[in-house]
Amino acid sequence: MYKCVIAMLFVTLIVMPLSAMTAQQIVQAMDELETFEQSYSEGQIITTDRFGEKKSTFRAWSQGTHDSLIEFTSVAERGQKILRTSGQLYLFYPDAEELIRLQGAALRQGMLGSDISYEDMTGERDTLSDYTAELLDTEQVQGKSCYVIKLTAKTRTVAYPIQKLWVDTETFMVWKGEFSTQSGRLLKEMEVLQTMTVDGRTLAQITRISDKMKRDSATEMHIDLLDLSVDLDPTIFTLQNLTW
Amino acid sequence: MKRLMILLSLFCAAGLLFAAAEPVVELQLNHIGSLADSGTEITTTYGMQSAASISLKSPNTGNVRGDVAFTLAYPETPDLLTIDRAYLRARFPKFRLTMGKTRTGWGDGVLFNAADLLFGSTGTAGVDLSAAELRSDTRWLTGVNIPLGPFRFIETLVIAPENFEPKDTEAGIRLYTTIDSVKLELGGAYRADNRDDTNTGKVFTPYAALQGHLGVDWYAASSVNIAYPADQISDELRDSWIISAGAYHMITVGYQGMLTARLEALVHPFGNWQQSDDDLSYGLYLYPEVVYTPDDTWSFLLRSIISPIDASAQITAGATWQVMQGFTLHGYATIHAGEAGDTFVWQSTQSSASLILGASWIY
Repeated sequence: MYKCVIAMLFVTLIVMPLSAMTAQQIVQAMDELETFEQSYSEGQIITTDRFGEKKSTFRAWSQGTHDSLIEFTSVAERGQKILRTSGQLYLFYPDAEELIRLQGAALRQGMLGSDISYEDMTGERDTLSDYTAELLDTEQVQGKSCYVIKLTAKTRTVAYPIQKLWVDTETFMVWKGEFSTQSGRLLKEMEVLQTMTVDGRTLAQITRISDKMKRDSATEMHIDLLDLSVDLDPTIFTLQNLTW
Repeated sequence: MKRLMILLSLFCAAGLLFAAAEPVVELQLNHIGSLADSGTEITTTYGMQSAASISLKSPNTGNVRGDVAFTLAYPETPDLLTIDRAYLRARFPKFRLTMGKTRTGWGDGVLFNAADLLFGSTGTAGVDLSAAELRSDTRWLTGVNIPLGPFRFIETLVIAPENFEPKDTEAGIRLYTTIDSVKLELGGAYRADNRDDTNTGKVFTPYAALQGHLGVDWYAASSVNIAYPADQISDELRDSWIISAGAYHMITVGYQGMLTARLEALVHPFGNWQQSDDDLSYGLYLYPEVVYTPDDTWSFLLRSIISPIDASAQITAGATWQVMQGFTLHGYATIHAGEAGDTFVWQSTQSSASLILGASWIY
């Protein structure tokens, strides 16, 4: 009996790190890691396929959970801006002097055909409103202990019905992701190639996304600069600044 | 010789500007074939068309910005050189000043927009459905934009007459605001009534435009002319009242494809609602557009201007393939479907159908 109690305590201690947090808490911590009061960033999206490399560069400002502004600085898109506020999206094309206001599904679309949606560029992240989370296991990825989380879509409006994420047990950064169809067919794979520490948070600096449906195709997202202690002028998130 | 001097002056000026700004060049090269069926004979044409658009933007810093953009075209359509934009913009503490050749977008609408009073977005003739921007005219203007809040402003515009006749000056004002989730624009313009059939000289044209979301993004606008001098007011009101409306929606297809659908309508409530051979100012025109983008490189589109009353249409189908950084291959086929006397006619000495195959490069 005594041996049995000791064995049960031992098993509990071993399993405790895995069960100390629920899947929901892990996903919330993952979302919170990428939610900033204010931020300024500069980066680039590099797409590589068999025809070569395409690079788009951008500057981005975000404030709270609703406001964000992205300005593209690469040649083909120079000066194009996207302002997102609560429930609405404004696009500005400087050559045509065209200001377009969009609502609804447009907010979930990817920027420049990439996997990064307008919602991803803001602090408004609520993974659990679209997915149910399940904690599968813990595994090592790039030498780091990670929770393995399976996300199953609640709605049909999301791009990936199934996501499998490897979330760092200490920093809650997502080191790796697999994005699949309902039937389990792998569509895309994401991995963090390089990290950075900003204001005590460990965040992805270079992320690589491989398209499993296309041969020799991959997208890399580079964050070249991230300032979380910036004091932003509130007029940044106005039509005056968007059309400037 | 004169043309050569203009070009040399341009390149000298451009050389100085290049030193201050990083130029962006868009080179368009197209093979164009067309077929004209006059009813008695069929003629075909084939040739190459090229256009180089050069934009010299100021750096995105400071409180003054500007852009000079011009296009060199071959063959000359209609000019060898066109100034697309040439403006500066200065930001003052309480307002923003814009001076030069540019445009400003009033209301919403890709093809039909009753609120676009000073640049015109109601005509159906001569629209190039293979163009990236269906309405891109610019004019020499001076504008003042006064912010009233984060998403509210007043804008005033004065458009200088190109013939230097003071009486031909045009001017406009608009209020842009949001009420709950709906965008509202109210404004008006004093302008020339340049419609060929009801030319009464100058008119004041008020407009209202709305935009919102109800399952799909929607927009609508209406404008009407008040004749100035004040004669023929009732005729002008009846003849000039137009309503434009549109709906736009995008859905994800597959795991990364996107399908966007747009439908716009232009309504002349007192226009001609019966088919006619001599009065083509019909009461209703439609613009449907479907674009399917299966991935980040390919795009397929189908656009049409439809005149439902005489059952005629201009239809364009096209595809673009962004092969490399800034380099895109494209192809468009356009046909005119309709009988003699319709808005769009197949039998024509100009063009019944055309095919464009080409490439563009932005660097």
